[in-house]
Amino acid sequence: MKEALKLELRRLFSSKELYIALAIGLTLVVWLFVYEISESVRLAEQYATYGDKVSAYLYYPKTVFNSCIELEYDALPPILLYLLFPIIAAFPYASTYCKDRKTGYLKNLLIRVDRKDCYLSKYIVSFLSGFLLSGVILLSSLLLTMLVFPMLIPEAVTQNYYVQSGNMWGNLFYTMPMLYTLLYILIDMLWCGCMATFALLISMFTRSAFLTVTGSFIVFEVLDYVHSLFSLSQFSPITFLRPIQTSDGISLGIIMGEFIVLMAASFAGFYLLERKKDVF
Amino acid sequence: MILELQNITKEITGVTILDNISLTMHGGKVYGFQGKNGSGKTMLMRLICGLIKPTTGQVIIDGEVLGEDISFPRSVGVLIENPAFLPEYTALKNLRLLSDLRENLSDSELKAVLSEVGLDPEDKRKYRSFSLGMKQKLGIAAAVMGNPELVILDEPINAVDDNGVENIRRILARLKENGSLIIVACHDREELELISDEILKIDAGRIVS
Repeated sequence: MKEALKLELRRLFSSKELYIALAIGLTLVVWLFVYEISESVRLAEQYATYGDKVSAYLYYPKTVFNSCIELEYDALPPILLYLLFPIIAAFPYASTYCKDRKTGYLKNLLIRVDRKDCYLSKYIVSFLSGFLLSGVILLSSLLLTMLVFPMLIPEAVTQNYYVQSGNMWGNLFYTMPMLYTLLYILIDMLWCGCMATFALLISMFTRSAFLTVTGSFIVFEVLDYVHSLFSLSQFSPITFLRPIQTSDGISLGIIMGEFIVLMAASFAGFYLLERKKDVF
Repeated sequence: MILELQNITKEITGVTILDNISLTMHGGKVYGFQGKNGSGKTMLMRLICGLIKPTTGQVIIDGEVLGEDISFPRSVGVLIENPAFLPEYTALKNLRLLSDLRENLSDSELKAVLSEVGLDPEDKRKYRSFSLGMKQKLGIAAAVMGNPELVILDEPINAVDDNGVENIRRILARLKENGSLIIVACHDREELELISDEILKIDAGRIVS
């Protein structure tokens, strides 16, 4: 098991797909960072021009907790990032299984390591690829924002924050915002790992790397559409993964419940069923 | 090594690919599989290395049942259909990665096997830029590295030049001398007769002679 895991990890960290996905994520982070700085400058100029002639919210500065990619609402980069997470999570590794089947490399592995170890190591590395990649992207945004913006405790009355006190962990956000942000990043990391294993599940049915990566994206988008159609957006991962919580009724039970169901489905499909199939 | 196939039948979507094959093979010999395209040679090879499971029957290797006691033969080298390696690595690095999974060979041993098949061990080119013949040679190198007790080669001389063919013959002779059981499928009848101790003709999933 150790050897198989080592090989798969080596493949992950030497794959150009990992660095392409990282570059896409970090580009969005830097894009937002530049946007937030220009917004701050604009606000400062407004203050310099109009002073106290306009309403109070104008004077409330941009802070870490409404400028990092997790907690910004209006700008395009966070919308794109959370929309593309299923692709970004699956891109670095999830397609290796269908490539291994297509090229025949899987045979090289299966005559050297036990089937259980081979499939389990692929499943674990797939989860880790999404988990770590999303962690690096989200933490980079938080750290980059912390370099420039103040870490003021959010005040709901300023109407500058997007998390509502009635939302899940809303009180936590307005008392310990850093803890709230870090906990939500952890949830996002777990879910990106889950999305990568879901793409691995899709790769059982196709030998196309493109379909493996986009298949997961399409499934999550269709789910999001169907949920919103029936006013059940709180159940859609695309919606509940954003820490600003764009829908009411999101709860930890929903987030973790769906996580467990999806992980169990991908584990059962890939590890328990796929490893028993003939390899041609 | 003793390899026993007991009443092996393989059906895929209702079509019988291998039909009640029983056979015993011994180490220190080269067995040549001969047959037309689609006769079941490659399927039988896949079955012997545990990649597919028989619909009925058993593959027994030194008393251990494949798929029950072991999921693949304990010491096996395989080249079935096209060689497959990671395109972004050199020949040596590819062998290193595979060897780390089981054989744990040293760099000098890996370089020796590359030289033996006629590849330059210091070649810095990546696998993706290899010619067809070089890929095939690397496939042979991966199959024979660590001197496995069971060697299965499907069309090993495909795209290989005359020197390469000579190298393959030498390698097979050495492995045979070491007591390995070697199974080769080849369309070139003369070549197969030259390297094999015993030729098994397969037709429509059956061993006919």
